[in-house]
Amino acid sequence: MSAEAPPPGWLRTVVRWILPGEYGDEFVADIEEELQGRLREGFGSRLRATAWCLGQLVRPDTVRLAVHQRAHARKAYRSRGAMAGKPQELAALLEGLADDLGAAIRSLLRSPGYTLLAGATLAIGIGATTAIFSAADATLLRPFPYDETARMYRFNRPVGRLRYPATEEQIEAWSRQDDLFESFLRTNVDRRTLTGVGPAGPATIGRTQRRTLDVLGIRPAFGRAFLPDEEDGEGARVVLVAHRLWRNRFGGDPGVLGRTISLDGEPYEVIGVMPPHTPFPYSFEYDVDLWAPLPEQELDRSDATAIAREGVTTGDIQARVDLIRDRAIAGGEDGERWQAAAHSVADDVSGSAAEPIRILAAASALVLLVAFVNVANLLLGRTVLRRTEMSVRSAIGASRGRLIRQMLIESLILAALGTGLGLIVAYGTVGLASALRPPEMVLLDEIRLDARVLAFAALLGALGAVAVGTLPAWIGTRAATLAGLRHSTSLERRSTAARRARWLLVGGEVALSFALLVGSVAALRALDALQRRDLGFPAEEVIVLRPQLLYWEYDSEDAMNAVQERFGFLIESTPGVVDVSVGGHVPLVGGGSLQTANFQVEGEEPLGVDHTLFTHDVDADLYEVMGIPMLAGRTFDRVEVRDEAPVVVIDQPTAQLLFGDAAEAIGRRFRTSSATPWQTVVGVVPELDPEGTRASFDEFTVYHPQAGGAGYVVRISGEADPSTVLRELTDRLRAEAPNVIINTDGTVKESLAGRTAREQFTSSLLSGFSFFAFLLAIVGLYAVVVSLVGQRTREIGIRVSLGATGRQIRRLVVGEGVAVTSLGILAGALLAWWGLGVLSSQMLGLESRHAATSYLAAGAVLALASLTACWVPAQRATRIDPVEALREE
Amino acid sequence: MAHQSLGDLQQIVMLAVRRLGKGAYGNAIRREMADVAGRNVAVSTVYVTLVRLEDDGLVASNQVDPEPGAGGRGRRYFTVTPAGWEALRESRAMHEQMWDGLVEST
Repeated sequence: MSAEAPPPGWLRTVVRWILPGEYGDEFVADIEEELQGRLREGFGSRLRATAWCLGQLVRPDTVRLAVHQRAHARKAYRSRGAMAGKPQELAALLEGLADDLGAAIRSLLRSPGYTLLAGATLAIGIGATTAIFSAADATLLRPFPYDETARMYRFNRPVGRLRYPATEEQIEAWSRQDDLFESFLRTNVDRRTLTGVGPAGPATIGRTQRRTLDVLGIRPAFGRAFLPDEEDGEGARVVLVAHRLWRNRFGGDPGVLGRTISLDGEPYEVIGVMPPHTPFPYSFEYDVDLWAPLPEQELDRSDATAIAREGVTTGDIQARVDLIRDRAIAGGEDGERWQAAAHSVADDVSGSAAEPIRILAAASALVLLVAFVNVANLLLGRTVLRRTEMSVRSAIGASRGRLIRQMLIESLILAALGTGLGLIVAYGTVGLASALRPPEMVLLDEIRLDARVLAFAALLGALGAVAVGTLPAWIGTRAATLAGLRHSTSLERRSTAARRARWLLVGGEVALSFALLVGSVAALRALDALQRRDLGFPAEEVIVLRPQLLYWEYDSEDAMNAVQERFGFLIESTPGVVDVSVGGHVPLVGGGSLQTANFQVEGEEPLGVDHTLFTHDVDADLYEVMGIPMLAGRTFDRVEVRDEAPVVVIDQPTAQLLFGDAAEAIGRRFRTSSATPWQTVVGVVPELDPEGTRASFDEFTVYHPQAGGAGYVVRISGEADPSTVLRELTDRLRAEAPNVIINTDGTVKESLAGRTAREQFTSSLLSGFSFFAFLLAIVGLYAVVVSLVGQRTREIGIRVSLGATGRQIRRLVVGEGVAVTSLGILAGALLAWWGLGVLSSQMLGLESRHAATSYLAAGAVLALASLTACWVPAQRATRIDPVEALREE
Repeated sequence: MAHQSLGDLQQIVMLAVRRLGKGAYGNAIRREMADVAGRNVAVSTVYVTLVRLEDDGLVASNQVDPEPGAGGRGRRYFTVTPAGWEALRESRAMHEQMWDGLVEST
């Protein structure tokens, strides 16, 4: 390192900024000299020398020197007097600003408690809003790292209420529409079992063409992309590892290249690692773990994503799709084959995140508003305390504009403090949101507090400074005249205006926080009702287990069956287990297939309407094990199960639809299309989960008899702890087959709770926000009452000396607060009424019956808290000593 | 011009300026204070003291242009004004009067 090295450039800039003018130059020169001297004498490293320089700078004397310098410059300017031109005016303005800044900082430092309270309040509002903005930014505003996302479209074939993927024939025809589409990306996604890296586990493999990576500009973080010949034949067994899997399973090992992993027992070579934030361009919501080449022969099992040309709309694409269909019909073809609906990928993905984010954005905006109002209120309280200061400054020549400017600078500093702290709050909130996120909102993991988010927070801060500073500055300086030095009428009037404004603001806060409280209580109650709803069977006592054996580890199917049979015995003998049913499908939880049906009852005409049909293949004992009652008829018998006989158990809605009544259905026959065999109804069970989780359509359920399957429906005793039993079950199965993968969501109740994850996410963040809004409103109310009591000390003293009782004093203080709170709650109720209307269309299970109690609960909580907030200062007011109070003035 | 008595730091700074003669600029003064009086102070402390003394007319300063070709930079050099010298002497006299007659013992 050169001994002649100058001090770092940034240090010079800092010094010049702090110390403008000649002494700044001197200072820099001195530091430079000293630094070089020290380096020459081998006085440690450059870092140490720089630290020494900084140490020289960070001194109270530096501030003194800076102040002196500025005062000096101003004096020089004044002495030039009439000579002043534009540049000098600007300099004077800047000097003035610097003075105001200093004064504002000193003034804020004099009351650290107040400064901290205001800063923290702003931080809560700014932090919450920034966090939700960053979430919205990551999910709604620009969810994808690929520029092409906005132009991506996918297609499906609507059949009845179901959606099927487009056919190869259709994709082929569309991809010829060069004027609309740039290219078609082909992908398919599979679940495999990954072994060879830690314990066996499921992995998602996404196959796509080499071209896709080029089109989207995706490059592996390291390693290489697919080669052209790797798409030949069956496709080469090479994979690119997604960043997350690389980190989690490979421990971020850079030596992963060339390593062999095994997918369903087949070896694959790792050729590269993908960069982070690189979603697979099929489902942006569920990321894949591995990328592999998509061979030609797999195209007919692949999905297509079209990238439209710039300016092409969904409408344009749909019109073309319809045109192709109409031409086919004109050519005598079946129109159904060419039917398709185009939809934008961006809309699909944002859609799942949109509702919660919108609700939370509205909620955080309310918190922000409450925070602003609160701080405005604090500032307003402060202006009253500072009336003498203002009057003195006004008397010695400060213009009102100057006073307003100084107060605005104070609120700007507070806002800066609030923004800084708010970023910490935002960081925490984002972490929390990420931890609570529902599984489908994968994009929430992509949230970054980047430059955009910082800019947003800064904007909020600036907005906050103006929002909280303007009113107090206006009122606080209104009558800051010489007369104000005495306790004159104008001052009284100003106090009254400030008091009215403060009460108004508190009322507003109460209103906003009441609305938020009602909303969150209603959301929580809806969620609770959703989770506690009667499913028609004891869902908390039913565990579903799907142990998955690594089939390539077994020589024969018999060997696997033998293990599975032993599983059955092991499960049955586990303590806490009452009964077990073996089967592939479990209603509500998994398996089953959706199709459309045109029902026809024997001896009647087909219904002629497409109904959505859910079919489950189940063993005879399923209903008994799950505790599902038979409404009519019986379950299957052993023979029917063994033979997979054409008999069915149907659910209540199906019986109603086809036969009018459950009892009528027994022994009757129906079919689901003219091409399927007749089926005899042997039993009717209730509709499971009649209130629904997120059913988008009315389903009809039909159960077919079938034995075997890899799933176990386990009924546990009501006294047993499900998690203990589950642990014991997994231990036993692992002891039998160490490499078994056990898929389970726990009890049916827990598994269904997972489906309300989005509601849980929304309502927990919503409650957090409303709690903060509530807290702020109560703190605001308390602060106002306390300071008003302070201002009325003299009045209260006189009242006490004239014989007012404690109760009368209390009533005097509490009365005003209670009146304002009541009005606030009323206004908030109107807001909540409107808000709940919006919320109920967005949130599942939110109904008006939850609303009434929510109003009561929120009202009670708020009323109690605000009464306390008024009572405490009121109690203190009763202890005012009249003699002291009168002497004080 | 009547002065309030000089502070300890002010005296040391002025004495350092005086000792350095024509070479009294910020960092040199700082070093002189450290070397002779054992007073290690920050650069800014030296300047704050100097500017206040300058305001009081006890020191004066002038900017000296850099020597041509030497690659050096111009510095601001300080001198003690006659009023400053007077004040220093007053301080010394005051100290000596106060010491007068005291026996140095513990």
